[in-house]
Amino acid sequence: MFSQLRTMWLVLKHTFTKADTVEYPEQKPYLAPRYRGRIVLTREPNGEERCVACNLCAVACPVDCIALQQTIDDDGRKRAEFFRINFSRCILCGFCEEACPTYAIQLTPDVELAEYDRQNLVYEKEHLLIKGVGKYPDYSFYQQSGIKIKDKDKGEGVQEKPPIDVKGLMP
Amino acid sequence: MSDDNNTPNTVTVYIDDQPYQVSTDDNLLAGVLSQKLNLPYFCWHPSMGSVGACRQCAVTQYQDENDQRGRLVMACTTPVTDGMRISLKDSQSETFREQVISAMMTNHPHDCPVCAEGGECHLQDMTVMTGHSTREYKGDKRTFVNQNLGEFVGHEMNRCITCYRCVRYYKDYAGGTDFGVYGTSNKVCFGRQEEGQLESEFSGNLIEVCPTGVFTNKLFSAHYTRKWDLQSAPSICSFCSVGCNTSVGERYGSVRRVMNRYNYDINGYFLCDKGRFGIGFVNGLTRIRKTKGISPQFPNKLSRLDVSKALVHFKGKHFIGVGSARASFEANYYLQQLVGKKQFSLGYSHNEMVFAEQHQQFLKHHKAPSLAEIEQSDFVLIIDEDITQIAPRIALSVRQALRNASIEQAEKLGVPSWQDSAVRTIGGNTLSPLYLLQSKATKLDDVAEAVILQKTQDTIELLHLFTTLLQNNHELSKLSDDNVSLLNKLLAAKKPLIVGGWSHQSSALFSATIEFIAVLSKAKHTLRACLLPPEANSIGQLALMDENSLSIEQVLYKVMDTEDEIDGLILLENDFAVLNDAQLNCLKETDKTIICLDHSDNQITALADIIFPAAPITESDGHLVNYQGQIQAFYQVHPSVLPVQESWRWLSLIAKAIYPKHALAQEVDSLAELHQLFFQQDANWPLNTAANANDAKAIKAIAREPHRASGRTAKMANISVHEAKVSQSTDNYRFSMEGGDLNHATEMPFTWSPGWNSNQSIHQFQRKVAGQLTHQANAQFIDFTDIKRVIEPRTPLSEHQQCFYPQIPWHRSGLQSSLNPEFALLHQVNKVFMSSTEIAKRQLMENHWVSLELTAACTGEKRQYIAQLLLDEKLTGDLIYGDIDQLPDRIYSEVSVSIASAQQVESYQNRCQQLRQKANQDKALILEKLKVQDAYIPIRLVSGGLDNA
Repeated sequence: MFSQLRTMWLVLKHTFTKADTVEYPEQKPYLAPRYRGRIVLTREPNGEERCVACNLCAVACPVDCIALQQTIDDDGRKRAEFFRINFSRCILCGFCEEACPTYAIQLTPDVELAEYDRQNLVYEKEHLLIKGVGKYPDYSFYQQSGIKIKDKDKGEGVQEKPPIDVKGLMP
Repeated sequence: MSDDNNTPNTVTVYIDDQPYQVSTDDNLLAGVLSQKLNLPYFCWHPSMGSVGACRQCAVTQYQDENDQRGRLVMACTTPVTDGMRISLKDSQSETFREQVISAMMTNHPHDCPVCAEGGECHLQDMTVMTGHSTREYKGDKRTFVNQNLGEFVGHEMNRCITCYRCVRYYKDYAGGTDFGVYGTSNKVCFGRQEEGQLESEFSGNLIEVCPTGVFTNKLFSAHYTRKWDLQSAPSICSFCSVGCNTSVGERYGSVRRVMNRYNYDINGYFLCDKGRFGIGFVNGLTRIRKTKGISPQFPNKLSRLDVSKALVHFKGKHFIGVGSARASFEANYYLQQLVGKKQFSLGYSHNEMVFAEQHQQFLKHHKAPSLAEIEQSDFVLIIDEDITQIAPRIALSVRQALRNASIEQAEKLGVPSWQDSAVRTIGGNTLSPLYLLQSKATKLDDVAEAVILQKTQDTIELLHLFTTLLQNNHELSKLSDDNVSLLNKLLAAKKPLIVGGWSHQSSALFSATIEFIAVLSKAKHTLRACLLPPEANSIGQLALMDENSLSIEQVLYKVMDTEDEIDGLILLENDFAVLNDAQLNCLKETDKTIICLDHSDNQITALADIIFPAAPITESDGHLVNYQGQIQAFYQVHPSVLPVQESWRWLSLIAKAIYPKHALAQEVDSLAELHQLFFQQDANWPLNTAANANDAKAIKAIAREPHRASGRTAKMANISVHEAKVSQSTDNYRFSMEGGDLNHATEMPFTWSPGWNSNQSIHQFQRKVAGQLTHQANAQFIDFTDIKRVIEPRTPLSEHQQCFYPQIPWHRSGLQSSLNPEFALLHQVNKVFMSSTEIAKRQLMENHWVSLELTAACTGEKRQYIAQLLLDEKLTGDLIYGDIDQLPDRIYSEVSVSIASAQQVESYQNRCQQLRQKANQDKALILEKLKVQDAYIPIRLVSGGLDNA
């Protein structure tokens, strides 16, 4: 008897407390900038694609929902010929972001990934690639790697010595 | 390589206080690795020995059990002694090894994401193994300007850790001359004197020898995928008769690359460039992917019914079957059984039949040596065969055999064979004797004791003379000094080796060689001899040969003969390269039905009425028989896209339609069923899988993909988000990452073991380092039967007429090579070589362009070529040889040479230019096509034949 009365009291009491739920989608909850939602591919500060198609995100993915193919462009950069994420499988774990050595793949706070047709959740590179740098404003992989590309010769990158003169006689 | 399996001298070694039985034949590092313990190393290589350059394999050695301090020793330069105590886990040696890596890392760039070695990098593995996890060096990194090393090998010098393996391999092991090490201290650079194509036929091994990504596979990088994503299958190289074991990798439905698959007896750790870089033919532009002459009921889906409907009116008709040495052993046997032995041709010309018959009888009495056995020879005689071009991997083994003299010298001084630099210092230029009896210069000339350049006719006479000398023991005076020393050294040698082959096209020389070997082997029981046939399954063909087998000429005769009741030809992967223009025209004009099974367009498919697209080696299951008669299996790397299917599947459909009453006209779904069927019909069928079926069941099917393969739920998601079931294979390997332990496979699709991602992981699967594989299948050899007929050479005098000896480089022989545009780019210019007297006699000028007119001996057809005239100082008399592009492989009886006009030279150079442009375009086109294909992976539920999804 007492227990039932107590229950009723508690239920009635909640009538006057502020609701935790919000009127989604009219009202949106706060999500931190590092919240793990929809995956994007970012660009370098100069606008070039960051992704070098190294396959590390794909291999880190626990549900194997990333597939890509590397290609070498005329400017010497490696890029993804295609880059596909099957969001119907993605569990937004963020392992791909952690694995990415070039800061290309990043998770955004956009979690609104609902579709009536699962097929629409298959995102290709054109859907994933954004214009900005994402969370890492300055990073450019080719400046750090010692690789020669069209606009950056050997020895011109960060922490690189000028190329060695193989024919030089100095010790 | 030391002899395997026969009780090695083992002693007890205490490693971290645990006793182990370690062989004293090899160094301590090899001993530790043989126990499947992890010890990092770089410069040591199982087949190249130790130099102690990298200091990575340091271990602590203790005086006795009371010794607490110990001292650091380099395991690779330390011999194994009884009761020795070492430690791998003590902090002293662990810190040392970590610091060595740390020093290497100061200059190693941060470019793993774009490095093709990443994921199978020995340096990555060793860095993880030593526990070096943070970069301590904050300074600037060294850079190098890279070189263009040609079509196959990419160069990124920044990544070098100066272990010296590349130069030791390329110069010391493979005998290359155009590669070296330059500079001093921290500026050491490995490469060529100047940019350009690497000249060695074995340059591709640099990719596997280099512990990091300095040398990478350019063709693979152009259409790259990580090792962990490659779906691989054990395969056999289909380019020559050696039968090297390969591991072919595939991703998204296209073949990406070939890697070496270790086989102790055959290829060991190395492949030749043809095998490694030639696989592109399966992605070629001229691949046949549709049937011709068959109208399917539903477009895009050919059914078995369609095939039988199209063939039903041939029921009971007489067909001649022509097999080929390119097709699998099974397919040839199947065709022979269907059409009957009297209607079957092996695809050999009359002249080749003479070779085939003699070769078959030869193999019945002489066991051909394996490559491991070749490497133990101390005397080599090569009879008119350019083995570097015909069977390159054997040439590499012969080069190793020549080192035996210096190894013996070193052993006398107490230096073991694995002390590589010491052995080379002691040996100096000492080489075991190699004698070359040949009609043209070859790549082995530089290591030969004597090169006897002479016409085939003279070689035949010499061999006859040798034979009579051996029988009678006198008349030495008739011989020249070179020949006397040849014979003396041959008789003095402990393990002499004689190599011959088919490429000289002289049946008289072939029989003289066989006779010489037969006589010599009576006097010398240790003699080993191997004869090299031209193609991957040539010896398998010999097993099918009997007195009824037809030659190509007989086939043509039967086809042209109106009285003969022949209704058509069934051609099994045979492009009739031996036919001359006249014969080809005959075939063109005939009204008989030509049914062709092949994987790529060629001169015969252009004439065919019905074409069945056959699967090339990467898309089929089957067996090939190598030069020794060893039967080796190859497996599908990926399911073929219908209607492409294996030749034997097509033959079973043909059987049901044309020969419905034949005992073999049954539906077969897998190779195992086919073998069962063959065995039921013919107890002599050598591959009885029923006997092995129980073993096969005991072993869980092996996965073709590594367990880390990625993209399963995304790679086909653009076609349908609902993931397709993986294709069910019809053999013992699965098209997925699920399967039994790699370690139990007799043929491993790829090699990987925890902590060892590179191909160096192979020692985890060997009984001991550089020994037999733990689960090596027993080698199975063909038994040859007697045949009654002796085929008479039709033109016994053709050797007399021969006056021009063509050099045919490895990248230009056979249909499959011609499908690789990269190979076409290797051709420089036509060259013709003469002696100085001949140049003077013909009133020509050295280094000038000449016009060359060659007349074929058998048909009299004349062909004209432009070539550069060069002087060969070793040549005497009127012997002429040369390297001429697009020269049909015939005997040429007449050669007239004149100075070429400027106009001729210009048009020739334009033509060369055009060919190069075409090859470059083709290369780009193939790549473009493959990239499009990547996005549309064909879904197949079962990798069987037609109707099987």
